[in-house]
Amino acid sequence: MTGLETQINGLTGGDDSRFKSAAAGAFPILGEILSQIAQHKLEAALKDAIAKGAEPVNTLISAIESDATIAYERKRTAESAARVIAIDQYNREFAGGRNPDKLKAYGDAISAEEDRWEAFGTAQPTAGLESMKAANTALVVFARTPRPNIHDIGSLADAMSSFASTALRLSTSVQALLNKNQGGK
Amino acid sequence: MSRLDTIQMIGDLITKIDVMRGSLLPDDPHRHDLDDQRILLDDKQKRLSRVVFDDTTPAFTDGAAKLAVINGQIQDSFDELDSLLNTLQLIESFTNSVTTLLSAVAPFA
Repeated sequence: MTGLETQINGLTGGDDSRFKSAAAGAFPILGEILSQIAQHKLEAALKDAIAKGAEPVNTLISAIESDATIAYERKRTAESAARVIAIDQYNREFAGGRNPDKLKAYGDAISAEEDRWEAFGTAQPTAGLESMKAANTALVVFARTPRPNIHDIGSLADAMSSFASTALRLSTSVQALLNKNQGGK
Repeated sequence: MSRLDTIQMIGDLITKIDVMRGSLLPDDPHRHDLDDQRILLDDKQKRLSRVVFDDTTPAFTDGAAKLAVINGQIQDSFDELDSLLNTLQLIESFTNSVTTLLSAVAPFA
């Protein structure tokens, strides 16, 4: 934990101050919990996680969400340009040589770019991270309930199930995109 | 409107511009104008995504609100037939406003 914290603090760059700040809030709590687990005080460790973990963890997720969204937007701008490049090369061939084989190849390239664009649109990171925050909050609410009833258990299960399905959907979309980028099916 | 919202709004407009560019032949004069605006907006979006600043200051919120208004006018112009010139002028106005906004919140970006 100490090593990881040192690595985080050693990060450089203009836009990682928010991430460092969020991580700095979470690390002391995680360290304390791990220490208590090591001392076989599991119940106390869980209570500490309940009491102190919710806000820093959600802050950390928000910091990751912000960076991931910006990275996604810049990638979207690049992917959008690639669509136009594919159309341009088809139009140039159509206006010039009209070689059937080239036209077919360029047409296929347009189709591939459109498939990639569609897959990219479903791989937005925001939904998954928002779902993760909701699951974390639901876990804290549940753990703070002294004697959970069937309704409390159901609420927690719903939040976890929602997060799991969102994560699975996102993972499937990212995998599909990776396959398309590698020329697979 | 936050910094993230602004970056996304610029991205949405770039995507729309790309659709317009794809509908014009590469040697169309209007296409060159759209190419120029696209290059400028791409650069502005990159700068906004890299620079760290407070997006709750009046300098930013006022500038972002102005951008949202122009963006709305651009979206309306997309629905009008034969309004390419008008759309182009609005896009230029949007790009200039992004430049003004960047100068206000991050002069050295």
